[in-house]
Amino acid sequence: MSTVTNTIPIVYNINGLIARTVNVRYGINLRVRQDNTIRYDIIEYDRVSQSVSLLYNIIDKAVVQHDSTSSVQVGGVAIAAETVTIEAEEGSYCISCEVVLLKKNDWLLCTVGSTLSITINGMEYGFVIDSPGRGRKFNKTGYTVRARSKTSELDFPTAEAVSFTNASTTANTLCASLCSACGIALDWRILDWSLLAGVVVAEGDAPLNIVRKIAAAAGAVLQSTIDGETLIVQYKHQGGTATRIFTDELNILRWVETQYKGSGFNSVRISDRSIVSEDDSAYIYIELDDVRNGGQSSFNITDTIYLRVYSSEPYTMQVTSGTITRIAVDEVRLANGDIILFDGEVYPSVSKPIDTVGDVIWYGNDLGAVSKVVASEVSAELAGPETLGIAKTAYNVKHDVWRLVPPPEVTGEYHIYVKSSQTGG
Amino acid sequence: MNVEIVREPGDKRAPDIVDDLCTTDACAIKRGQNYLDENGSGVKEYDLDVAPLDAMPAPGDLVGIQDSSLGQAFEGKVLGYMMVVSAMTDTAPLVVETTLQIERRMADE
Repeated sequence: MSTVTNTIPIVYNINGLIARTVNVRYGINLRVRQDNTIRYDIIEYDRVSQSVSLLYNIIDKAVVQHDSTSSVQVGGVAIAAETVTIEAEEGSYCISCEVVLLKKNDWLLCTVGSTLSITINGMEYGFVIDSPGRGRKFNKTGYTVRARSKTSELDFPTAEAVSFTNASTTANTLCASLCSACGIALDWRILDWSLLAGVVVAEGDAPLNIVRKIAAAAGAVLQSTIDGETLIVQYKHQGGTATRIFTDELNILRWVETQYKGSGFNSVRISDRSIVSEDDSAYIYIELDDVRNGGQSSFNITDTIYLRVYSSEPYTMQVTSGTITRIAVDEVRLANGDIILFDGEVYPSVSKPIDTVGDVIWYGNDLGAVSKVVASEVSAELAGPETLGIAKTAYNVKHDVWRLVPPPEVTGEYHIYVKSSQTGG
Repeated sequence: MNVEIVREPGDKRAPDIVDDLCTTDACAIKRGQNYLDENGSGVKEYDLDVAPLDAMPAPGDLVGIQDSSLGQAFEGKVLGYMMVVSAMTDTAPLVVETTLQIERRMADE
């Protein structure tokens, strides 16, 4: 087993503390702090909108001259449309459209599953009809047709459910085979990476769900080409350089601007579950024992200092001077309840290694029982990819207590270095 | 696999991301970069009605925007678009209305 080491510099008259280290200053105020737990601050997830609509002096729509052309065909037969609306968005993998028709006979051609081709200013869109609809009122009947890109056939109800556990392959290869089985081409625009056997498990899933999960692993989203025949896998933030320019002096007719506050995150850790379990099952963590120290954060030269050591494995303690003695073993204590955010399937962490989980109070969405996963990470019974919940979770911690007695010759500024090392088990 | 993506000053860490399918460092780096792009700075979103186009920018594409009223030029990502074609009869002129939804990251402000 690998050795995990944690050290505590005991510093006199020196400021500055980081996680897993404790600086003890004599004669000067001492502050011990952990990592800020701002990840649990609900404010960080409250998308504050500061909405301002600004209308500049932009060109008049009447000034723009454009000889637009369009045509609509169903199964290769031209039909007359009153209006066509086409929408595409980042959050949807396929392009959708709605067509309002003028004639009943045209509408009768629009059966579910028929191909719908729309050409606007030379752009050739391809769709498969989902839903022909009809509305009647006195003296008038309206005909509408809704359709989506052919790539929609990767999802239910058209797609067959798939159940499998993958052999060793790559992300691109697996996704291409799933698309191919549905008659859809794949345009893979991101890196390809190895998927070890058994990491992809489908149990009655739509092929789309599997492809979407794999793409999301690399921060990618799904889109469709405008002809609808090809699924594109691309990064959500591709970067690059703009190839088209819009300007309020030439081709912008209306401009509405809204600003949103960001979360402000500037670091993130990415892991796969199996490795997290191995790495994080071993931990060693030290803090001041605020109870035995009487809540002191400032010490005199002659004070004895008490430390808590949380360790998953046997360990040793060393000091550069003075004496350090273990006075309690596996002391169990109820930690203050931590506020924990459960965002999707991510395992959130509490501030200290957990012995047992206690009472849980959910604020709003109730995601069920909370249990320890490993070290300080917890999971919620009903947490899933789309769930969101926040809870106050009480838990017991188990730690040893050590007493540090400085050497008698201490005068003025003095430094003691405390080192704890796991010895394996 | 265990990768941490840090951007200066690196003082505000997001909740950990655990994904069975993110099995290599290269994949994790891309995941982290895209996550921080999405959850880092604030954004401005623009709904722009534009003149009819012969080639529509796709969601995810970068476009340039020139704001002459403020003397600014910036790049934004296309979040989506809507195109409405109406009066498609022989007797009326064709009207094509195009709305682009643009996202601008405000990392520089």
